[in-house]
Amino acid sequence: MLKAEQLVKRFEDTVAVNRLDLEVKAGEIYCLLGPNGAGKTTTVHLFMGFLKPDSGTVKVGGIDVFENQLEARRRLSYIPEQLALYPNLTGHENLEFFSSLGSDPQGKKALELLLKEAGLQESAIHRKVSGYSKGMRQKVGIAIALAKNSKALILDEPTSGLDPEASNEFARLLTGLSKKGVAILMTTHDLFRARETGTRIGIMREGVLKREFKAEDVKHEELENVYLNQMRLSE
Amino acid sequence: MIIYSIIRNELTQQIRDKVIVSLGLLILLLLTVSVVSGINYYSEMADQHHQAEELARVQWENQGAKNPHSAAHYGTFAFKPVTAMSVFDPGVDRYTGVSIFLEGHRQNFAAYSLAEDKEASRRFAELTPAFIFAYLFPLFIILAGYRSVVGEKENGMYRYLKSQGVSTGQLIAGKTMGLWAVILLIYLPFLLIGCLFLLLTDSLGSNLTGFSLMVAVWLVYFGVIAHITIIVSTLAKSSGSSMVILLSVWIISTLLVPRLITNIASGIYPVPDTTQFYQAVRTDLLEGIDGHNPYSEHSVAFRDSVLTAHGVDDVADLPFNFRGMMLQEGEEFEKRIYDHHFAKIDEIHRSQIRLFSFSSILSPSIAARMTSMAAAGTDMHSFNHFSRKAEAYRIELMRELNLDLKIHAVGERAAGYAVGGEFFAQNLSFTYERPDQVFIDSSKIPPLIILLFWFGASAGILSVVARKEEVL
Repeated sequence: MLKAEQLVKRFEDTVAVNRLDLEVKAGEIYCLLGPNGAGKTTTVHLFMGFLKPDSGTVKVGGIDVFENQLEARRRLSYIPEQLALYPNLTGHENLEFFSSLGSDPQGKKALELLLKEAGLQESAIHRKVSGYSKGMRQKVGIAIALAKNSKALILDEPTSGLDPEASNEFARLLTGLSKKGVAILMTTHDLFRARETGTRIGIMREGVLKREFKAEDVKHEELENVYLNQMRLSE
Repeated sequence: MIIYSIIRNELTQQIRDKVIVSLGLLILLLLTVSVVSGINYYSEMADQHHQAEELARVQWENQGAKNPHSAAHYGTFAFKPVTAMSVFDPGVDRYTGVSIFLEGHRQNFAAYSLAEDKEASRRFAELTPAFIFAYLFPLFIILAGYRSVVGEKENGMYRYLKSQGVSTGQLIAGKTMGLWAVILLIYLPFLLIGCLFLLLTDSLGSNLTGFSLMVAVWLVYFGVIAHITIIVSTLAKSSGSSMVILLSVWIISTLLVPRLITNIASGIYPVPDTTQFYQAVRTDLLEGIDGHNPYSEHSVAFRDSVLTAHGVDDVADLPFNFRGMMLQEGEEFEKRIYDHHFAKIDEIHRSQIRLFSFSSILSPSIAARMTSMAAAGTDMHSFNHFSRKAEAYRIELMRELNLDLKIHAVGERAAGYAVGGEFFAQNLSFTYERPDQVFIDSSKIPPLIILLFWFGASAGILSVVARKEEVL
């Protein structure tokens, strides 16, 4: 569903992503770990088409992101670290707006159900987003992804700043989505959450995918050692 | 559908923004106050005009028995009617004067400009819809739109919207039309109030073209400002710089350029003062017939030619009153001299207006203001039209008086010849019919075309910017 082949992105003299090959299949949750500056966010931005690669290809559902950007984006949902929502609108109104941008806008009741499905408290649904916590905003983001009914979801450090309970709830939502066949690519620093939630885990350093694991095959200590080792090497 | 959603969202955002709502309500309040005070002012002026016109006619008819030429020196007035459209845009009306004194031998400038009136209520009337549209409304548009696109970039929404499959073109189109919708929310009530006023004063029919043009002109102008606002908001690095750039554009366009062009225009094409003007007229008048001086070289030559033509030796033997004939001859000569000098002033005004028209390429505000005044029938061209009609009336009235003298003051009746109220009541009276205010003069076309050019160019640049932004 999400596929990068020999992907390269340079910023002047720095190679941010270096010949990256990465594939996330339907129903998989791929957690991309790595120290700051490893190239995780650049990879996400390349998948979203926010950046143009120097070489290589990025495809979403078989559609080249740079040949048919709008079509690729329509098949893809994205939740950034700081989800931008309109503070003057309620959670429901935000969802209604974003849903109306898609090809299949849904009715008010259906949208309410999606917000509930995403875990937003009923009392918050019709409250202005300016009073939301980050966790609540992320839930609206999930609801937007659900409304879009896309087959792939990309998340850029979605759990940073969430308390353990909210983080746990968020992980459950992602697992639910993957079970529906959604391919999920998520960047994170949270080793524990990556191992608990992810299907596969990749560790990036200096733009290169250094190691890849199946989450079920790796123990937490081993993952931590590899990760810390990569951190040290990057210092 | 996407663009419609963005427009709706933009409108909702603006309506929920307390600052924008407060400013919008303030603009609406000012517009209402300006229209109401304009209506009061218009009613008062229309009454005064009516009374003054009636009084002048009564005075003319009741000036007592006298020689027709004495009546020419007694004189009368032509009053420029105030138009209902001046409620929206009084233009140059308050600076040009409201009446012209009409007398024998002399063309006068209009007098009693409203700007000379020092009453506070008069000064308050300067808060007109046209002033609000030209100066304050652009500020409102800027404040409503300066964050429109750059704000979305700053808070991450721009990328998020793109991730939802929204193209930059759709976003910019939606933002622009959303800003248009906000503008219309405030502009439409004014439109309704304006129509209602024209309906109540029974002048909608006669002003339909002018009012429609004025409404369209300001709307196009707001469109230009909205386009510029969105262009700057798209290209600016931050909301702060967007605001600074747009305020600079506003200052330059609405305050600096018009003031600069006014100074340049009066520097390049200076209008002579009244003393200089009448001095030049007096010098030229010495070259012709003076109706009051039968011994001047020109008068003697004219008398001799008339005597020769009629085969007599003395003016007393002529079958008509020679003085009446000579006064009319002098009047026609003086008219040619005055016309020549007034034409020079007209040409200076025309040159200034031409410079102003073309300078609107630097400022859409100038184009909008000039076209609005033209639509209201309160521009310089409209005033000149009135002056020409008043002068034509003066000449006809003088001809009527001189002709009576020429025909009837003959023989024994010549000495002490006088006419009375019956005669004066039959004299022509001045009635001024305003022409179709929109198409008086082709010189009104350039500012309108330039304003449309601004609209087209700003829309074009906006679409280029949108395409450029689409490319990463």
